Amino acid sequence: MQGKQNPDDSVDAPADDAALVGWLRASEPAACEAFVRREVGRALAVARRLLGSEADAADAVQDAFASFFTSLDRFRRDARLSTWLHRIVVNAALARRRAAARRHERTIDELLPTYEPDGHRQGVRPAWDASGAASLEREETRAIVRRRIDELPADYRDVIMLRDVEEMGTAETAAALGVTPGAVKVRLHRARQALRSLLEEEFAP
Amino acid sequence: MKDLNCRDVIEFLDDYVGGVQPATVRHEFDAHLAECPACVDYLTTYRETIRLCRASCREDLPPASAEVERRLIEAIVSARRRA
Repeated sequence: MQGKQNPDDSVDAPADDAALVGWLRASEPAACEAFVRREVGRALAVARRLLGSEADAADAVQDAFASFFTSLDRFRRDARLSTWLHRIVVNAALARRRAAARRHERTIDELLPTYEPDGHRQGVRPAWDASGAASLEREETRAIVRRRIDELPADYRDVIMLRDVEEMGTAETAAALGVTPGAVKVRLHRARQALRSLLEEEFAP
Repeated sequence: MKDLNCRDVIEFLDDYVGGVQPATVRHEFDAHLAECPACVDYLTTYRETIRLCRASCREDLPPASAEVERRLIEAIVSARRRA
């Protein structure tokens, strides 16, 4: 199936998913290029939020489009093509972050709160917030938080990035990561607690 | 019903923050928080953690440069042609 031709010789992708898949499967270079042009900005934005660096994000997006085109034959018509591509981009970005962060990771147990037998929390410290670190420039604070996120164990970092940064729902996150919604819920709370411990090391007075 | 202790509150703090608890349970959490400064501090910093995580990864991200995007499109399309 062909997309329609513009006066400037570029090609518009069909709006309908089924038509778009047929058009892409026909492997026309112009079709492929038009689709990439349409989607690349959104894909790059997602990957940059998940990875921080523009260069890493560009590599992840390139990986993602390669997977996307290779697996086009497996696309199911009950899914939306944009959702499917988004999921592939998310997984490519998370895979790159896992590889980069591996050597900094801590264990989840050392970062969760511990309790006295009567249920009181151990090691209580006063509340803190990042604005209290008056000498820290905003950009430096962001860099600290991002570095600390990299210290989370990968399974927990993935969930906090998708739920709290990408603002994906529990079910969508579960589907993207291949785990149950219950596991997403448990991991999100633990990830936030663990990151809280890591940020306390930075920002507590 | 026995009063909640700190552990009970912290282990279900995500539900409290998400506002998904039934009113009776939320009321029990509020009663504990009214008398426990340590849990109030934990709640404050738990919320601050969520805010910082989101802000550090989302805010002030300048748009990708046109040059990066152009090179990326070129790389993807030429890889596809070779495939």
